[in-house]
Amino acid sequence: MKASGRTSRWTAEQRDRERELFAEFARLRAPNDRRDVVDDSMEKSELRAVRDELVTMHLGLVHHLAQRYGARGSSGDDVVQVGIVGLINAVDRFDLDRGHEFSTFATPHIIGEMRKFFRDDSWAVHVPRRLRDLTSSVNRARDDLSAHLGRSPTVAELSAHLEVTPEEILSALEAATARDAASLDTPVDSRGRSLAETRGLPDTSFEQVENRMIANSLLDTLPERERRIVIAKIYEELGQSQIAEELGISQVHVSRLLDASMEKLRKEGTTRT
Amino acid sequence: MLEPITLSFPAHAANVTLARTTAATLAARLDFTIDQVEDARLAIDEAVSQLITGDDETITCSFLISGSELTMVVTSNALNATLPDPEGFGWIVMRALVDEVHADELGGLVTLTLLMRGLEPAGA
Repeated sequence: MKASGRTSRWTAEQRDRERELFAEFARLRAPNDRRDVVDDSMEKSELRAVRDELVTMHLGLVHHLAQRYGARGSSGDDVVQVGIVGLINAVDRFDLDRGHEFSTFATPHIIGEMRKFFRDDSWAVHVPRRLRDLTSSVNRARDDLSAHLGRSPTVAELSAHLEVTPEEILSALEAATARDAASLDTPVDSRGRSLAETRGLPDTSFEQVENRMIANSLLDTLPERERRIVIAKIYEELGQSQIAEELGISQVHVSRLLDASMEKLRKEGTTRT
Repeated sequence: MLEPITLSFPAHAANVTLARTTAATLAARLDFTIDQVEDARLAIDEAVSQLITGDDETITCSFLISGSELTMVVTSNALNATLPDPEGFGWIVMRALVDEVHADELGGLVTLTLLMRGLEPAGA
């Protein structure tokens, strides 16, 4: 079913077929006083077949819109599903006589369902708690105000209603579409490079981490006071006088102990590595 | 009409967010409804995506605000960009999202112009 909807445009033949199907669809749905029970069930299955074909031939549009919404992975499928609901509603409501293109008519219906989907509360990506709460409040206020105003509210109206800044409203809306985690291997550009390939350099900190691990085990070979001095000096970056004060000894003493400790660590280190 | 706000960036999918965010921010400033703000975001995403050919070109988006209208002009410096297919999904989506959309080719460069109208100012 998916494959048939994967092309990114319609051909003239498809357009003709589409018009034909909608005309048929309208005819089958028109009230008919004379039909008997046998005809009725036949017409129903015919109706279903026409509707199925109309939905199937526009699946590509749903996939395209799902992509615009940045939908990938598991929730990408969900976005496609809700989009199909929008498409079915559009098929049922479309009136050939109004002279619109069906795809133009259907797009807002599909987007509408996708919007609703992103308004629900389930998150795959870590979004700061505050922003998450705000997004929920924005979504609630959006529904309340929409009912009240008879149209969707403006950012300014939402911001006044919720007593937060317009910027916060915008980030809450942006966060609402960030509920799904995309795989690092998802191709992100036209050359098919994955996200992982476009990000990051070798991390030089790994070497530092290794060195620290060696240093930590070496530190254990020092007596407690010397260990404290080395840690204070190297890791906490305290001055010698601060260390002297902390340990209640003279700064000269700290300096001497530090030199001796460092020398000892260096020797230990070279024998180990 | 105010001076346009212009944004240029290398044509990578990762940069499309910049155009989306700018469009949304300006649409919000114009007091568009949040559905329209979202439409602006999706429409510019669609327009920019139409122009990315993968040739490391530069995409330029100009945003013009006039009264309660937002005009978004998206162009690419790539000579091999093509006008959108009028039967293609991208074109249909843009047409559904904004009030007016035009595609022009001038000297081999393709420009997409999207126009959105906000709410009528109160009292007008």
